Parts: sequence; structure tokens; C-alpha cells
Amino acid sequence: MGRIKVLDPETVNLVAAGEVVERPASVVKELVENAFDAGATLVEVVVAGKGPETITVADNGCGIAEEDLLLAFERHATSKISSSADLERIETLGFRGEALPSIAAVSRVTLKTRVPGALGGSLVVVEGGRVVDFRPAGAPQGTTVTVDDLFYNTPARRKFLASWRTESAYLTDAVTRLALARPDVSVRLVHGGREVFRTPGTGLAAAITALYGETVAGALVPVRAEAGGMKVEGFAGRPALVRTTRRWQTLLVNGRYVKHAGLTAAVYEAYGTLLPSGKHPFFVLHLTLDPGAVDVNVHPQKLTVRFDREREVAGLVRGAVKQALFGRLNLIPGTSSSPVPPVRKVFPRPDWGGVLQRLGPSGDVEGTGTGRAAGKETGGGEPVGLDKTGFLVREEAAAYGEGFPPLTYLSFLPPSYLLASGPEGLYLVDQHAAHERVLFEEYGAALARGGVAGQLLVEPVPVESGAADVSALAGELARYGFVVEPFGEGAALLRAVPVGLGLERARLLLDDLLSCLAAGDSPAREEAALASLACHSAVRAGEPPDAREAVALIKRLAACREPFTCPHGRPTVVCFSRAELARRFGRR
Amino acid sequence: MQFIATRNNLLTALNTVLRAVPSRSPLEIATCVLVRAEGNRLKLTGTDLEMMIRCWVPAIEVNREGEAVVPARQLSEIVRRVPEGKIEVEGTGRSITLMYPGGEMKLSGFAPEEFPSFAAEDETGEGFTLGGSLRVALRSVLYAAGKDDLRPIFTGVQFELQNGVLTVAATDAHRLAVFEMATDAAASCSGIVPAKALREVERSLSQTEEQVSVNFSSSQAAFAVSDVELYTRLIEGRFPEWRQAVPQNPPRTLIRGEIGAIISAIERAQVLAYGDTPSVILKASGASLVVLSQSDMGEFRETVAVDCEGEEVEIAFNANYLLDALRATVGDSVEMGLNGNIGPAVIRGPGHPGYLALVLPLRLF
Ligand SMILES: Nc1ncnc2c1ncn2[C@@H]1O[C@H](COP(=O)(O)OP(=O)(O)OP(=O)(O)O)[C@@H](O)[C@H]1O
Ligand SMILES: [Mg+2]
Repeated sequence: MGRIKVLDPETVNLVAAGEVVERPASVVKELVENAFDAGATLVEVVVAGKGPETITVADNGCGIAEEDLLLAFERHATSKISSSADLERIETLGFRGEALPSIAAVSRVTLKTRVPGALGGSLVVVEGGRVVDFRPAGAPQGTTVTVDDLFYNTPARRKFLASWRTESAYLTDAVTRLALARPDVSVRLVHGGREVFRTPGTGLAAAITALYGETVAGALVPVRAEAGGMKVEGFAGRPALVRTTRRWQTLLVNGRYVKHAGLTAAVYEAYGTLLPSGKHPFFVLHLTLDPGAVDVNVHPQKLTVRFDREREVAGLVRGAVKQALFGRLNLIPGTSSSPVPPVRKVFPRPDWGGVLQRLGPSGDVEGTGTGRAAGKETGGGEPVGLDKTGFLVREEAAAYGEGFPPLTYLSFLPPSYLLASGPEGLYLVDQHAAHERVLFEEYGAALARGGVAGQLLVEPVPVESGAADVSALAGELARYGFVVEPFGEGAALLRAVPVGLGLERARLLLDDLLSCLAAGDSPAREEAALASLACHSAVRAGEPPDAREAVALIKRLAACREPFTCPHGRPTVVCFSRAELARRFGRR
Repeated sequence: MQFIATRNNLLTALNTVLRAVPSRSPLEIATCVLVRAEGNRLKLTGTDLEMMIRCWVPAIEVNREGEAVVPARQLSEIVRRVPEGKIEVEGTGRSITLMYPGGEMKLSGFAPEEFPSFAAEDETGEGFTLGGSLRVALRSVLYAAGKDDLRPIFTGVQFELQNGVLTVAATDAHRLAVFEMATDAAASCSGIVPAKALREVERSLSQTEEQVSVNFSSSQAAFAVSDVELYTRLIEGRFPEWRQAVPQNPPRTLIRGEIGAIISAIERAQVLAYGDTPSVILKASGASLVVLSQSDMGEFRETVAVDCEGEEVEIAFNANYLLDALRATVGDSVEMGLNGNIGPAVIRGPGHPGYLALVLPLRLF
């Protein structure tokens, strides 16, 4: 690292100013970031005492030369940038020269350091901003910073701290995110004499296993995509791993843990219907891009970033996660995440044109293409990569839904489950959820071609339409298979119902649909309408299928783009693996 | 109660009444059969409370009259498994003992007074007799009744007798089947009979050429064929006004062809069917009917030689609905009237007077 210099006042003014140290967790964050910037490969955080009596962060980085040591505690003294121009392309975590002086102002800091190759090191003690000791001292290579009596001179700040239990949770969380940010560094957290975790410094997968355990690590799919000089890499949780809070989400931009609503939203969009409402996915995603294309100098805590091309970044993230989820790996709860070779046959797409293109959902014209890839081109479904900018390669598009295992139907388990054998053991298919998924996609495909086929009725049936304006909605209802005519105030005449639906279920659906469609022009509207259509048409629990129907249903499910969950995000199939069964039977 | 009967007679009677006995019921006694020895005959009764079947069979000897209520399935299972020959049964109300060469079995059940009675037995309504051709009538329409339990009316068959003409009609809202026939009956009646019960009547008729005596009251109907009586509740509600749905004008396109040829073409088209509703498209023009279908697996096109008059038309149907209507048509040839691509197809058979089926098309995009 270069020499520490005091920034010129002009640059100082440009740096987002504010309180750097709010709580013990922010102290640790600043110190660990300094260690990372110093090129350390080992960082150890030790918290001792019941309150945060002593926080020590030790690293094996480049150390600080004796002549620079006092400067490090001066405000706006940094070795990481030297001019306002450098602010445009920040490659280090630190750049303000604020952290050490801010910490030293509210505590007693002891810093011991030795630069590699030097014979001796030095030690400095700063208390409430005043240097109380400074002398040569023996020290291991790198830097060890010990913070005592945090906030001793700011009782107000001290009072605002939450309970130590909460503060230590924040602290653990902060170190966790730091460890995820730099999986190439071995990070160890010791708390009250107990090792909380230690990442091996051998990569993200190993770090996640060390931090969250084997079970979580085993339920992840790798995410990876690169485009336009940007790269996203990391892991996303399979739908079985959904969580009730957002705590399990880590977004890292150029190695910096950040919060970004737009990118988070892109991940949720990628999950789409895999995600039950109110549930949150697990993910750890590293985004790497030109430091010039991202602004980290927005907020003193550096948690907020701005992108020059946010839409493209979001598109990359969405595409990558989607690809990972619906790609080669299968998402069945209970299976291992090892890829299963795809078994689907691809039929060449005959082109007869004209009349045949118009068959109802059962006709499934899209399905005649090369598997789901064709569906994606014509089906109005979202393309894999970046939407309109289209700069993500599309060749992986055909991978949608591959990885659905070959299942052999065994038997029906009332009220609703199809038992099947497959590569990993026993699979249970929820017939209602599976049928819902199948219909959701078939109807969706039909809708994309123009509309869902309607079955005309022997006798037109008067129905109540409530406040909905049937004549205004007739055109749209027709796309869903309903032929409806106005029939006086608050009533309508039903002439056709969506194919495959009994009259009574169709009437219930119509009620749903009228309220969905009345809800205005939201993009979620069509999806809600489709989900409702699929749900009303799907076979009920308790209706046992004959073997032929069961086999056909499994086959149709396997042909879906997103076969693993129903449109509401519940699983369609779960697996009891042979290993699990062996364990249950005490064979292992 | 004490009687001796042949194993075969007992088994026939049990199998007949078992069709009304639910295998599971919250009311346990409903899973039982009521066995009564009377005169020189046995009377077995089973019911699911909607429908009741009673069957009479001769006994070899009845030594003591009486009755017992025992689990129906267990009784029939044991009777089915004993060797052919005589079975002696002794009962004391709540239980019976079955004796056959080399073995015996005691089965306990319920007190006979607790067995659900079916009000229809006592009610007197309009009675009349129909010939065995009732079977033809039932076979012509039963397929069109629906399974939609949310709309019980569609699970019934409209049964109407007026001025000596019997009209039966069934619809599931998507298609309709009607059969009309002249009878000698002077009575008149009308009601909606559960298709489930009529299927049993049809089944009994398939085993005999005999007459059927029918009794209709406001809420129940009874059908008696030789030794079997069936009572059923009627379905309440308004049956669809199907007469208004039958086009009065001549069809815009009239197809005349051989039933078998058309059926097999549609069956072949259906091989490719995919999904819940197998769609087929019919294209009628000149002297040909083209049957088309398509799915994931490929595409199908076949030309069937037919007579075709009137407008050219291209129309889509649920293949199953068409097949049901055509298969129910008796004879070699069929007339199919089409009325544009959203009007009903009207199917009649020159060899099947009195039969009319309406199949409503699919509206495609
Ligand atoms: N662990 C360390 N190893 C080596 N040098 C360090 C270490 N900690 C701090 N320094 C040096 O001290 C300087 C001041 O650190 P400080 O954290 O106050 O500011 P910064 O990291 O430059 O900027 P920021 O305020 O954004 O963190 C750094 O620029 C760096 O040169
Ligand atoms: Mg710093």
C-alpha cells in the first residue's frame, strides 16, 4: 500500500460525510475492511467480554510503516486515493480516511503493526483521539487493532445501543457478510472465547458451508453469467430453501456488501412463481463490474450503491438466477443438487400453418417446437437473459426445465398424491399442484397465441356480473375462453366457458376473473387470472386418477418450463431419496 | 331366521344389492345389507340413502322367517369363497351364522329396526309399465350426463312421459342427448332421475328381456325389473330448456356418412390428443370430411368419404364428445347437421329413430 497522505480539502468535501461508527458492528466492519484492503489472507475477529469490552481485529496484511502510523489516525488521511479523480474509480473498500480517527475518537485503540521484511514493528495507543503512547514494539507481520471502552466518552451514543445480545447479532451478521464478500480470505470470528465460524478462504461454496452449514449449502444452485463487461456469480437457494425473512440475502458489488432494491427485485422476478407469497429466497451473489460504472460514494456507510446502467445490471442478475433455477439442475425437494441428465425428447416442429395453429390449450402448438425453447420465442414468456437490451447470449435458452427426472408411476396415494419411482428414490407428485402447473403453462401458451379455447354451451346461462362492465370486458374475457354478453343491469349471458371446465366451476372462475380484470392494468393481472384459471380447472384432491391419466399427467409436468412448483409456488413434486429411506429404516 | 339357499343364488342377490352399498360411509349401518327370509324366498336390500336396490331370490327352504343386518362386503366375500352348494344361515337380528360343508362363520351387525328405510317404498305415485326398449332409451342418453357434483342437475336424466310418449334427455351443459319413444303407458309423469340409478336399471335390463314397471312420485322413482327393485330420490331443480337449443331450421351444412368410418377417423385423430380436452377439427366441403388434429407428437389429417350438402365449414370439437354421440347412434349411417362454427352439431341416425344428440363446438383462436 502506498503512503498515507492527507486529502486535499476539495476531495474531502466530495466524500460522503457522516457518522462512520454507530455501533460495535460498524467498528468491526471498518477494521476488517482495512484488513482486506491491506491484502490480508487471514483475518481474525475476537470479541471478548459480555458487552463489547474488547474488539480485536488481526490481519496478516501489508502493515503500516512507522512513519505513517500517526497519520493513519488523522482525519481524511488515506493511502487509497489521492485526488478527486480517484473517487470515480474506487477499487478499495476504504477511501475516506475516516474510519480509524472516528473509532479512536470514541474509544481506546491500540494498534500494533509490522510491515513484511521489517525487523521490528511499532505500537500506538490513541484514546479519545489523543495519542497516549507511540513506540517501537515487536509485532507479527500485519496489523492488530484492539478497541477498548467503545463509546466511553459518548454516553448518549452508548445509551442508544440495543441490548448486547442484539448488538452481537449485528456484529456476527456484519462479519458473515464480510466473509462472504471475500471468500478468498480466511475469516475467523471468535466470540466470548468460542469460535463462531471460520471460513477456509478457498472460495464461496466453502465459505457458505462454513457460515450456514451443509444443509443450506446442499440446497443451492450455482449462478453464473457474464455480459457486457459485467459478471454475476454466486449461489441461489432452491425453492425448498425459501425463508421467512430477507436476512439470508447477500448482494456484493465489487466485493462490497450492499443493499439494492432494484437488484433484489430482479432476483425475486427470476424466482417468479417458484416463490410462495411472503417468502424470501436465499442468495449470495457477487457482481463484478468496472468500478467506474458504479458509485459507492453515496452514503458514509457505503451500503448504498448506484449503477450507471441499472437496467442492464438487473437484467443480467435476473437472467442468471432464472437460468440457474430453471436450468439443468432439478429443483425437487429431497433430491441432491447433482445434475440429472435431461431425458426429454425434442420433436421437430412441423409447419402446417393455418388451421392447426389454433387448437386450444390441449393443442399446445408451442410444445411442438424444440422443447421449451420454442415456447419461449413465441410464448411471450420472458427470455432467459437481458430483456430488450438482449446482450446476454441466448444459446442456453433451451435449458429451461431440463433436469426433470424420468419418473415411473407406481400408485395413487389418497387424497392427492401420485407415487413414482425415479433416479434418486421415491417421488411424490401432488396431482392438483402438478395439474395446476401444467394448465397454467398450457393456458398461458394458448393466451400468448391469442386465447384459450372456449366450449360453447347447450343453453346460455344467465350470470350475475356485479359492478363489472361486461360489454367492456367481453373482448378480454373471450381470450380466457368465456363468451359473455351483456344481459341487463348487473347480469350477463354466458355462452361459452374455458375448455376443460365444468359449467359450475367456470362460473366460480368468472367471478374471480371479473375481479382480477377489474383490477386495472397491472402486469401481474394476467398471471393472477391465469393462475385462477388453472386452479379452477385442475383436478381436485380426492379424485383418484386412473393409471393412464396419472402417467399422462407426469409426462405433461415434465414437459413444463417450470415443472417444480405450482403457480402459487408450492412444490409439485417431492422426493424421498434412497439415502433418506435407508436412514429411516435404520440401515445406515 | 333360519334358511338354506344355494351359494349361487345368495351370491347373485348380494352382487346386485352391493351396487347400492357404499364401501365406506359415516353411517356404518349403510355399509350393511338387510337379509330377510320370507315365504320361500330371500329378500336382500342395500342402500346408500340416495338409492336403494332390493333383490329377491328363491331359498331352498325357509325354516324360520326373520331378518338380520350384517356387513355387506364381508358377507359377499365369504359367500363368494365358499364352494358351490348349499349354505345354511341362521340369524338372530344382530348377527348371523353361515354354515357350509366343513365350516361356519359368524358375522355380527346391527339391529334390523335400525336399517335405513327408504320412503319411496311407501309412497304411491304414478305407476306404469315400459317395454324392454327402455334400455335403448337409457343407452342413448346416459353418456351425456355430467359428473359435475357442483351442479347435481347435470348428473341427472330428465324423464318425461306424456300422451304415451317417453322422452329422456341428459346434458352436461356442453352436449345433449335425447331419446323419444312411443309407449303404451297412459300415465304421465316427469322428474330428474340420477344417472347413477338409471345405469343400474340399464344393467338389470341387460340381463333380461322383461318389462319394467315404473313408479314416479314427486320426490322419488322406483323401477322394478323381474326380481330386482330400484328406488331412487329425484334430483330437484330446473332442467335446462334443451328444446330451445335444438335448431328448428334445416342445418347449414348436412353431412351423411358411415358411422364406423367417421368414428375410426376421429379415434385415429385422438391418438395424438394431448391434454385434458382432445380437440379435433372437422372441415366439411363437397364430398369430403377432413378430420384434423395436432399436438406435441405430430399432426393428423384424414379425409373421410361422405355426402355433404350446404355451406363449407371448419369447426372444432372436443373429440370425446363427438365420439360419445356417434357411438351411441345405432345403425350404419349417421346424419350430422352443422350450423356454422359456433352453432351446435346435430347428430341423428336413420337407423335409430327417436335419437338426437347435440354437441357444441369449441371456439378456437
Ligand atoms: N489493517 C491495516 N493494514 C494496513 N494499513 C492500514 C490498516 N488499517 C488502516 N491502514 C492504513 O490506514 C489508513 C487509514 O485507515 P482508515 O480506515 O481510517 O481510512 P481508509 O481505509 O483509507 O478509508 P475509510 O475511511 O473509507 O475506511 C488507510 O488508508 C491505510 O493506509
Ligand atoms: Mg478503512
